[in-house]
Amino acid sequence: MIHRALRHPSFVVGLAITLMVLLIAILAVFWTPHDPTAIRISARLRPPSATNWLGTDQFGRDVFSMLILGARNALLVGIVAVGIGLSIGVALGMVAATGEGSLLDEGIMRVCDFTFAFPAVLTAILILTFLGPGLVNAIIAIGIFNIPVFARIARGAALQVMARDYIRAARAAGRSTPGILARHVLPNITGILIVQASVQFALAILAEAGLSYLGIGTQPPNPSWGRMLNDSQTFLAQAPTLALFPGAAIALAVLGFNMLGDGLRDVLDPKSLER
Amino acid sequence: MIPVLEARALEKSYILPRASWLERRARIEAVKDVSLAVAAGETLGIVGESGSGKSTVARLLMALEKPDSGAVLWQGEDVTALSPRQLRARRHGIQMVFQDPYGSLDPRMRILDTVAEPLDVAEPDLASAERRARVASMLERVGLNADVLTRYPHQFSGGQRQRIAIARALVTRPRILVADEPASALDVSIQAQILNLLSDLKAEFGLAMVFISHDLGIVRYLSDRMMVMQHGVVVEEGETERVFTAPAHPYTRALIAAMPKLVT
Ligand SMILES: Nc1ncnc2c1ncn2[C@@H]1O[C@H](COP(=O)(O)OP(=O)(O)O)[C@@H](O)[C@H]1O
Ligand SMILES: [Mg+2]
Repeated sequence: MIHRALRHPSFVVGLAITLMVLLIAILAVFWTPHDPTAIRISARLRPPSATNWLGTDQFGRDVFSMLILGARNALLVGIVAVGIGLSIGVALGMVAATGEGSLLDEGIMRVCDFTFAFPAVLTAILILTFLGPGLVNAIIAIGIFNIPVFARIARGAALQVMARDYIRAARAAGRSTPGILARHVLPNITGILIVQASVQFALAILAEAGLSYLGIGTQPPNPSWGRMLNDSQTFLAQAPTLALFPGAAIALAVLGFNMLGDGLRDVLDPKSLER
Repeated sequence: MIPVLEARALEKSYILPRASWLERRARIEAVKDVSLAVAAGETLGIVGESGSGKSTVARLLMALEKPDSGAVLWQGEDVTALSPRQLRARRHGIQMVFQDPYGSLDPRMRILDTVAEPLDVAEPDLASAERRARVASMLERVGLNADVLTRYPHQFSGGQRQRIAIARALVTRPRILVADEPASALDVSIQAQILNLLSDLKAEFGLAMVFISHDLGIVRYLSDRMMVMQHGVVVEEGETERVFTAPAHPYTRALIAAMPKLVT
């Protein structure tokens, strides 16, 4: 399987980009070349140079430092929001699948359908108007709209698995329903969930950028790619690179996770595992 | 003497999902008024063409599904009335081998854990060395050596998988084995091996067996008594040799007439 994975171009490229973003984000936790919040009006809108690798913004802050700290925030949003969606969504999906056709199943699925009727970012904006703006609340909002995505995927995949004879064999062996879910169903739907998680991760990063761009996500002075993009607009004529870097960062990270998900879909395909 | 396995007037129907909102839901009566009894050490063969309800009977006997009406008795105890917990506690005494060895082993589970699963439930406090030893000895008994323990199902052929499935079914030393067409998904050259193995194990462990097949020759070879099913109903039942030499029902006669003859 590892051999096949390493020959899969979009998996390899996606993994490389993802790992790079991850390493940069980890690095930013411990070290940034400059204090990304330090304002130096004397050094406003500097072009890229040896001291400020990617230049400075309208307050003289170091763009490179902001960018890598922004990577940390983007990943934080992705990890926690997808984590929320994954844990709650998968639990709900498996409960629904276990009681297929029951009132509980119908209830869970109707609520999921209901949330799908609203565009995700609009829902997040709505949630943030209730919770108030901020990074933590943005994570919660993005996490909430991840729940039905995973609930529906988990339910569908679990239903497929539960129709197999090895589930009957486990029941004949005396396993309880929770035991079967934990030992047989969950391991057999993990591949599908991982693929979806990487896609949702890309969407979460995009959503955080979008919310911060609108000013209701990550709050200053905590840097965010979305807000950097917004701030740069005013100075597009004087400092075009100011928009280029956060834009490229968003595009690259989203692309990386999407390619990783795409590659994993092929690599983890249960059909290619069989025989 | 109490039969080790008994079924009384089993009924089971399935409601099919409707194709469109305008349609009525179709109902399939898969099993109608099926009764049977198996004595200790005895093998009951069930024959019938595809769709006649054999697998449904197997699932009902295993208490994997609830009958719409009727009762299933294990060692004289009605299991349709038991709580899930009570039922689980009695499952080690009756096990099943499924038709499709590609579907009956969890692809993500090591052979050791798959075979040990009934043991893990029946004897949760078993030391891991003892657990491993019991699994290994059962695998050896079905013709596989201990180096298969840490491997995964996709590394085995259909015949080997069915051996693994048989080892799992017998690891708790059940008194009853339900075998639902255990050889029909396999290559013809492998079928005889699996059937001979089941025949040997039946004698060695004193198993009562329900042996399901659409192949009359195999049923004749393995069973003491047999039942013929058609459209969910038992049309004939009796001593295997009697059924073959003096079939009473026209459907049985047709089945026997359609059997391939040995060319000498
Ligand atoms: N889970 C199910 N849902 C709907 N119909 C079923 C189900 N299981 C079996 N049936 C139907 O019941 C009938 C008997 O099936 P089965 O017991 O599998 O027969 P056999 O094992 O003799 O081929 C068939 O018509 C089959 O389509
Ligand atoms: Mg069948």
